[in-house]
Amino acid sequence: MSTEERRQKAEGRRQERTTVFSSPSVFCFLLSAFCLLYTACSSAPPPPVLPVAVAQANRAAETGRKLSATENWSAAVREWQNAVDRYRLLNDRANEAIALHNLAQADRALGELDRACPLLEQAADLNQQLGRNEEWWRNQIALLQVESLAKQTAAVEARFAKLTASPTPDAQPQLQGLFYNELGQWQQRQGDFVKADETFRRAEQAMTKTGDRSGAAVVLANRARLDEAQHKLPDALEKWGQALTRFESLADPPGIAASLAGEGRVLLAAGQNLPAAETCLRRAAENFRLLKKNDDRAAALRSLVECLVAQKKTSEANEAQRMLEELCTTGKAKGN
Amino acid sequence: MPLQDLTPELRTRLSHVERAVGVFVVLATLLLLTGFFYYLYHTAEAKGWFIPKVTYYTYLRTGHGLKTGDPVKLMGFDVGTIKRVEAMGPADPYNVFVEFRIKRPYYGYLWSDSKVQVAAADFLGGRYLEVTKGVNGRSTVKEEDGRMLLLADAAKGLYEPITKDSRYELEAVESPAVTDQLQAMVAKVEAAIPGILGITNRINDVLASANVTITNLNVTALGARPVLTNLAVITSQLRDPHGSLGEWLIPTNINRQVQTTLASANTTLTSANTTVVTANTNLVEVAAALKRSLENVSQITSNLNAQVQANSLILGEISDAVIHTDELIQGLKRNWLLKSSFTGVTNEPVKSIVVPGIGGSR
Repeated sequence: MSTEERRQKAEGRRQERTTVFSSPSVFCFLLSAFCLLYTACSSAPPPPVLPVAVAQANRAAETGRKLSATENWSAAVREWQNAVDRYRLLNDRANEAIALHNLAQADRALGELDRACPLLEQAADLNQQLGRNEEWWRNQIALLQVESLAKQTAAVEARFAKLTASPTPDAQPQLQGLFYNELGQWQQRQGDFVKADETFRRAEQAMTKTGDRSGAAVVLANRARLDEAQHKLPDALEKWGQALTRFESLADPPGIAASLAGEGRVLLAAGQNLPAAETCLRRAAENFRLLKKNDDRAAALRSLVECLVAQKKTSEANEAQRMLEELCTTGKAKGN
Repeated sequence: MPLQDLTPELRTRLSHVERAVGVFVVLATLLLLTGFFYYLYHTAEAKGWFIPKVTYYTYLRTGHGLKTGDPVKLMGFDVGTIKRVEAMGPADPYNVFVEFRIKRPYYGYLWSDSKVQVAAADFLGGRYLEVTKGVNGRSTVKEEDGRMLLLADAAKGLYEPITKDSRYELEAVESPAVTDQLQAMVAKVEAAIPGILGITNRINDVLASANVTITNLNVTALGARPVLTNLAVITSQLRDPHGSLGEWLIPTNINRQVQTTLASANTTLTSANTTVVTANTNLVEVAAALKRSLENVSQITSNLNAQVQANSLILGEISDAVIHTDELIQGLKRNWLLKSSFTGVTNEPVKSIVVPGIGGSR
């Protein structure tokens, strides 16, 4: 390359540099940098502040939800009642219905079934007036559960008749699953095992569709109970085992206790591996005692007595029988 | 591109731009200089560089707690600063030389009878200078025809023009630091304790003597019963026209004994008087020491009060800082670029709780 060519090339490079850093370019760069900085630093205006009364009502509902989640039922009852009162003052009927429903659930957990039913009816009425169909279904399912617990057979039958006539909430598979689970149990209690099996299958499908693992485990446990009722003991044993595994993975103490009791019952009914049945039933009875589920504990103890008698462990059977009688006496005393 | 390669029009335009840039730079420089000088002037004014000052000095026993730059007070105001604190020579009768400047108009309060008080500033041994207002002396500084004159001879009332080295001496009234005062007080209390113990010992002795006396009196009273009988005989004898009261009552030997007893009682009373006087003196000293202690405690509490009042706004400022930080974070949370970083778990809306039930107890 000659000297002249090198000079020209250098000149061209210098011109290029001059062009790159000319005033308009710098100006545009600064302008764009400013715009970028301005837009990057701009924040959205703060959200409007809720009125104090609304904030108080929402806070009461949120506290009630947390207390219900931690199963602090007596405190939950107070907070939900507070939320009901505040929403009622604000004429917020949708949230009032939710608070009434949850208040009823807390009462149900405390064994106050007579208080829970009217509250759920009130919530259902409000939701019906507001056209909130999904919430209304939730109220109905809760009513079914409460009436079943209260052994109000006629009321449950009438409600099932009413609900089966109504269009099911197709858009809500979770609600479908909940409803079919209750319906299946009802059909099982009525002795219609075929229908119950079909209904439980539909419930399981709906639960699986929504990804509700807890619900699916519950339905599986109910299917195991159905097999047990039909004396399909190998199937029942397999299902109780699967249910136990699922409840363990979900860390669900009531489900674990129910599965242990179910497994023990089936083993006892089959007359095989009685020591394993005894272990399951002992653990189930102890877990029900910790969970304060006296009815379930009494059932587990009854099975345990049978199991111990079958094994000819008379002294231990007498001890279990004594505990059962003590439990029944305490239950009657509380009932009085 | 070289300048000679440009067209005449472009060259003209470029020269205009260069001129405008030059004007801008000159204006900016002028503005900068103006601002700098204004700042300088403002600072000088705030710091009192333009205010005339007069130099004073004094001698102190100790320079403990004093340092250059410390304020000098007059009637509670900061009226000047300490300029020099130096130790005197080993042979000098004074220990420490302290020079300080008083600014206008406060030097007008300083007369020839003004004093420099060195007061305790805190518990940590800090001290400060406080000059007192003159009462019946001559003004140390006089202004005549725009000139400042410093008092040279207070007795004759002579003034001299103030030069760079002019300074006026003020007498110092030095009080020791709080710690020194406390130490002195403790020493006095320690010294007074033997006196107090002496008093208590003497009181104890007196009480013991009184106890013995009472015991003796009791014995005497028991022995006095026959005397009463004798008295009855004596009174019957008094009825006798041959009897004499003086002879009966105070015979010669009894008179001597009475005189001896009175002399000894006088001695005892003198001794008791001395004891009481000593006790009184000691009590006065104790009371004075207690008074000084209370004054020191009062000074300490007033200093504490001053410090608390000076820092009364700190909690409010911390609270403001927390609020502003919260506002900043809330703003960042709403920023379109950064809000994705703050998306945490939020509470889902409250809904009706329904859980599937396992059949069994029903």
